[in-house]
Amino acid sequence: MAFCDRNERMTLDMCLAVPFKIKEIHEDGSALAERGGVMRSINVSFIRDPRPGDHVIVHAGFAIERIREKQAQEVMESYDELVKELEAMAK
Amino acid sequence: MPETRESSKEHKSRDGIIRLMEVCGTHTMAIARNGIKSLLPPGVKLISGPGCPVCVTPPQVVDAVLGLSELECRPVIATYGDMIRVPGSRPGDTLMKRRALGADVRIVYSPVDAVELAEKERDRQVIFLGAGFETTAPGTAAAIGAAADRGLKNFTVFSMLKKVEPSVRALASDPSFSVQGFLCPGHVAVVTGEKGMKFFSEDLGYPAVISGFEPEEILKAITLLLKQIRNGESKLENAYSTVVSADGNTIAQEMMEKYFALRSDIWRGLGLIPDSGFGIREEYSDMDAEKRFDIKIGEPKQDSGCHCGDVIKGAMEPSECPLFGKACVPEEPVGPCMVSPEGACAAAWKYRDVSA
Repeated sequence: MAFCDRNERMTLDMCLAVPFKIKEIHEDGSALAERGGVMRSINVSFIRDPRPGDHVIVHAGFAIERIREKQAQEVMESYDELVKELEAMAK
Repeated sequence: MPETRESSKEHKSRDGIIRLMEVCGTHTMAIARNGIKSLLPPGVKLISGPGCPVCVTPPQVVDAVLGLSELECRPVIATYGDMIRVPGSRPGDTLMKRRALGADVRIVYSPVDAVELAEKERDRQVIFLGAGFETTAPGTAAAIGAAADRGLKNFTVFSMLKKVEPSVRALASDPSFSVQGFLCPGHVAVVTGEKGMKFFSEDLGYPAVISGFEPEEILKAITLLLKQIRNGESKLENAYSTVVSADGNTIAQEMMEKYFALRSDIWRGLGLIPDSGFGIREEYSDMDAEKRFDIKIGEPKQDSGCHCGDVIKGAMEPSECPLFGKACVPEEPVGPCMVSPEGACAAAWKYRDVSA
C-alpha cells in the first residue's frame, strides 16, 4: 500500500499534535526539541522525568506524552494482520 | 481492557451501511489526506463527529470573540491560527477582518506564548482565546498558572475549552443518530487515558477503538472495529498504546482540575450541553476574560445558511451542503468546518481527488 508523505508541515493550528525528539532540558520546564531538522522550544512540565533522547507528542507547545518505542514497533508488526482482515472484509 | 460483552447496539444500520465516526480533527485530516475512505470495502463509511475545536464553537461565541476587538482598552487578542478566519454570525466578519480594521490580533503557537506577550507588554491587556478539548486544556491551565505565579494583572483567558465525552453522549441520545462504531480521539485519550474512553462501550454500548494518526494505525483501528461489529461485540480497544496508557497523563489531568470547573456550554449543532465546557475556577477569576470584560453570549445575529452543525453531528456529508465548493471554499469560508484544516468540509474539499 502506498501512503502519502508523513512529514506534516509545522503548523500554527491548534489541534495538530506532532512527535518531537527532546534535545536539551532546561530548568524552567522548557526543552529544546527537534523534528525534521527544525528545532523549537517546547514545554515538558506534563512529562515525568523528561530526558534528552525521549520522543514526545507535542500539542500546542506542550509535550503531552512520551512515545514508547517498543509498542511503536509492535504496531508496525501487526500490519500483516490488518491487510488480511481488510481483504476478508472486501470479499 | 473491559470484558467483552454483547453490544446493545444494532450492528447494521437500516440501510445496511456500517458507519464509523471519528471524533478528532487530526483523524479527519489524516483520513482525507491519505485517501483512507477510498481504501475501505463497500458498505463501510467513515464520518466526522464533533472533533474540530473551531467547528464546534457556535457563531454567537465567535460574535463575543469579535466583540473583544471593540473593547475600549484595545486589548491584544492572542489566538491559535485557525481561529482568526472563523466568521461569526455575520458572513465575512472574522478576527482577520477586524485586524485589517485595526484590532490587535496576534497568532500564537502555545498559550505560554500569550503569557510571554503579557509579560513584555505590561501596559496592554492580553486576552488568550482558549479553544480546544482535553488536549489544549492542560496547556491553557498551565498558562493561567504561569501568569498567576508571575503576578501578571494584564493576562486573561476566554475559555471556549470543551470536554469531548458529553458531546458524544448528546449525539448518541438522538434517536436519528446511526453509527455502528467509534474511532476514539487519540490525543484526547493521551490525556484522559483508556479510562476516559470507556463510556463509548460501557455506557453507550458501541464498539470503540483508540486510534493513532498514521494511516496504517487508522486502518488497524478500523479493522478492529469491523471485527468487533462482525462478532457482535462492543468493547474498548487501545490501538494507540504507544502513547495512550490506562490512566492517561495524570499531571495534565491535575492541571485541568486545579484551574477549571465543568460548566454548561453551547456547541454548534448540538446546543447547550450540561457539564461540557471548562470554565475557569472562581479562585482564578482574575484571569477569566468573561468576568473581567463582562462578556455576554447573545443569540446568533443571522443564519448564514451554513450546515456545519449537521456535518459535525454526522447527519450530513460536506458535499451534501448546498454551499460546499460554491459559496463556501477555504479561501472564503462561510462556516468553521471549511476554515480549519481539520474541519470536515476543508478536508473534504482539499483532498476531494483522493477521498472517495
